[in-house]
Amino acid sequence: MGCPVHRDSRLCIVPPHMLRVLEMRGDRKTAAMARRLLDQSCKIRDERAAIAARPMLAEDGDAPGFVAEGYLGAAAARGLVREIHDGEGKAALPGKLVRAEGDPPTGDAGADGAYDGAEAVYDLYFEEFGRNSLDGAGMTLVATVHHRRNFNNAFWDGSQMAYGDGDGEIFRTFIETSVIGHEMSHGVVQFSGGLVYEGQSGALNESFADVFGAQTRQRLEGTGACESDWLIGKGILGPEIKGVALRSMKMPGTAYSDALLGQDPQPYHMDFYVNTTEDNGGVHVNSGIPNHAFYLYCMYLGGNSWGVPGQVWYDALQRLNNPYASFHDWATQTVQSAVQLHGVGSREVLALRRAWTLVGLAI
Amino acid sequence: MMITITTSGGIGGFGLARKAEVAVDELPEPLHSETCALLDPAALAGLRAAAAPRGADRIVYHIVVVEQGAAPSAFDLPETVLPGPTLDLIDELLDFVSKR
Repeated sequence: MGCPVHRDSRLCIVPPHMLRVLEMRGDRKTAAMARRLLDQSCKIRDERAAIAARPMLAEDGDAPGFVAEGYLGAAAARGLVREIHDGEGKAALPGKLVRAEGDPPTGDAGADGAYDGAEAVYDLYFEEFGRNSLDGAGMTLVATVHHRRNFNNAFWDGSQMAYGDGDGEIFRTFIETSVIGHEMSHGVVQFSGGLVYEGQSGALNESFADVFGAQTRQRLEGTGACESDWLIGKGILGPEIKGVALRSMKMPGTAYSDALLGQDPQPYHMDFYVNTTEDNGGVHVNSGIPNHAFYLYCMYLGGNSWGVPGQVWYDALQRLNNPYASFHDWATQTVQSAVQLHGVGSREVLALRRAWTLVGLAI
Repeated sequence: MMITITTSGGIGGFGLARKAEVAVDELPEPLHSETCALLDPAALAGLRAAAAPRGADRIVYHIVVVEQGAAPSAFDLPETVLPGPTLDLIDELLDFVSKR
């Protein structure tokens, strides 16, 4: 489908940032169209109205259009459905199905680890936040293990998770609870309205993934916020790498210091914000700042990270409706959520403001 | 023909780059033929990057092709635009170089 017949070029003025959001939030047809129109720079207002199932803006206090149904009330019945595939060292996704929901263990540590990890993430979101799977509507959790050969990465591709095996030198595995929670939480962000994967919004996307990856691990291990080491990807680095994890939420910038990897570049304060064109504007670097804010908030309140702090963070994501949110926008939203949940003068709100102040964001 | 492949991005962001310099003419068959076909500058130039694909923690491949007598051709290609066989070939080349 090409651009609607508009002879007046002034009608073809939908700005790129709107088209990018449509590409991110729309169904396949809409996403493909937005991509074409990003090239053509044409207007797509008619198509947007046609595919929108719910309004994007909140009406009279109702949740915005992309809030999962499970957030608006009690979640539907538990609906965990997993499909674990073996990539067999190739790039094609999803690969060969090796374990479907309810199947016995395969004996393959990667496949069984991904299977169990997916349940831990599902349980966090369902039992603590009332969310039925990543989209809130019980979508099947599809994961591929042994993706590609000696692949030093794990990712969310928009519809599934994929885990490499690592090359044995830099990484030895990606089947680790906080990593699984991280990748799946990218899906939650996507189905909650999205955060554009660049600059500060991209760092927030990354941070949300780390925050809920950490919660998944702590909940599975029965670790309270004050007992946790707050490491993301603990133990996945290679045996000769001088480091303990991919990232530290407790002390950003200290996870590794290695001749091959260099120094963990994460900042813990806005004063050390990294301005770069690499890594989509440092999305994996500057995420250290909101990560540390969440950690500090948990330290102030004690208890479990999926208690008040997790509830505030989750509520904020559901209400944000700003894919281009800055750190300040996000911090403001978290405070608004805390006010809504606990009251304007509550200890929970006071602690949150202090946490943000300590990382250089005064709200 | 000389091909240099480096990577950036991924779940770790910085510091995870792999690099390989491949002298294509010294590759054994069928790796030589596959490389000539899939990493030919014309083939790479035909891979248009989709605008802001969904997903996160993806890798970008920086590929420089130097053909004899020609200026270098440089490509920055997200893995999302590289076909599966091309990604498999890249993995094979990275392994081949690392074992040399």
